[in-house]
Amino acid sequence: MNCREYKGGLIELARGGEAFEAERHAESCPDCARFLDQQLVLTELQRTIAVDAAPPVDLEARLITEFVLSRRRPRRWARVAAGAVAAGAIAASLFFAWFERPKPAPKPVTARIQFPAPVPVAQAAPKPEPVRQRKHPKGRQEAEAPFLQIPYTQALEPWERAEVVRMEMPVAALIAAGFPVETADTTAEASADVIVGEDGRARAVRLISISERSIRR
Amino acid sequence: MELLRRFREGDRDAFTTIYRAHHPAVFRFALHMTCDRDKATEVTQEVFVWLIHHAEDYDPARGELGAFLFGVTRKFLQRSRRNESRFVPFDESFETSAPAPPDDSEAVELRRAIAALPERYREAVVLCDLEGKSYEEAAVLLECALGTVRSRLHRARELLGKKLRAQQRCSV
Repeated sequence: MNCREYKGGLIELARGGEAFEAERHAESCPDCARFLDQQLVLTELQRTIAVDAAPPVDLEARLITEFVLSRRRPRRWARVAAGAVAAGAIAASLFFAWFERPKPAPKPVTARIQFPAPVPVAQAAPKPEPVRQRKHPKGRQEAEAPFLQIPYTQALEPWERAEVVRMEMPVAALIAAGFPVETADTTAEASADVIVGEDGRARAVRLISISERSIRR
Repeated sequence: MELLRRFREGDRDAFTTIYRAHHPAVFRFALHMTCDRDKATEVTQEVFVWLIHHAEDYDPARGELGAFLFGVTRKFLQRSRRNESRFVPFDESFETSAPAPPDDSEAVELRRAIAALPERYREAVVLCDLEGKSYEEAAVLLECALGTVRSRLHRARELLGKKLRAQQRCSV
C-alpha cells in the first residue's frame, strides 16, 4: 500500500475511528504523520464551530402566529372545492342562459304580389263585405274570414298549385285593389294571407288584422 | 404520533413543541451550508412555514420528522442558491448581507473554507463532522450510497486540510 491508500484510514483515525494499519504507517512516514496531525487539528476546529446556534428569538413567535392564522384560513382543499363550486355555478348559469336566450324572430316571408291597377268600384266584380277587425277572437276570425279574389286576376285552375303566404302590406294597397277597408290611416300596415299561384301572381287575399291605430271605430 | 396528530388538528402547543425540538438542527444545517446567519434564518422560517401548510405530507411510516425536515431544508437551500445564481451584484466587492466583523481566528477561516466547498462535499462535512451523523444516516438523508458519502467526506477533509495549511503559511 502506498501513502495515498492510507489517507482514508488516517482521516477515520482523526475522526475518532480505528485504523491500526494507517496508524502504524503514520509512525514511520513523516508525510502521513503530518497529514494525520492536520486532520486532528481540523477535527478539533470543527468541534469549536459545531456549537449550538439558534435563530432569532422572534422567529418562534412569527411562526406560531403563522400557524394560528393558517388554521383560521380555509384549508387548501376547501379553497379548491369552493373554487370548483363557483366555476360550476358559473358554467351552469351560462349553459341555461344560452338555452333560454330569446329566439330570433323568423324572417318575414316575402312574395312578389302584383296588384291590378285600381278600377272603379262600379266595375269591380262582386263587392266583398267590409272586414271589421277585432270584433271576434283572433282564431275565430281567421277561420271565418274568406279569401277574396283579387279583381281582374285569372282564377286558379283546379290543377294549379298555389301557396299561401302571410305578409304585411300597406292598407293603401288593399284599398287600391278594391277591398273595402274601413280605416282613415292609409299608412297603416295590414297583415294578410295571400294566395300566390305558380306564376307568382297573387290571386286572393284574406285579411288577418290591421294595426290598432288604423281601425276606424 | 400523538404530538403530530395534535399538530395536524391545529394544536398550537404541539406545533411549538415540534418547532423547539427541530429548529436547532434545521438552523445549524442551514447556517453551515450558507455561512450566512440571515439566510439561515430565512431558510429555517421557510421550512417551518412549509411544514405548517403541508403537515399532511409527512408520513411517519417513512422516517423521522427530523430527517423529513432535513430533506425539506435541503430543497429550500437548493432553491435559494438557484435564485441567487440569477442575480449578479453590481460590484464584485458588493456583499448582500452585513459583513462579518473582522476575525482572523481559525474557526472563522474554517467556516469560510467549508462554505467554499462544492455542495456535495459541504453536505458530507456538515452532516458527518458537524452534525455527528453516521455514514448510514447521511447516506439516507443525501439519498446516495454509503461509500459515496465516505469518499465525499474524505475528499472534503483533504481540501479543508490543504486550505487551512495554506492559510497557516500565509499568516506566518
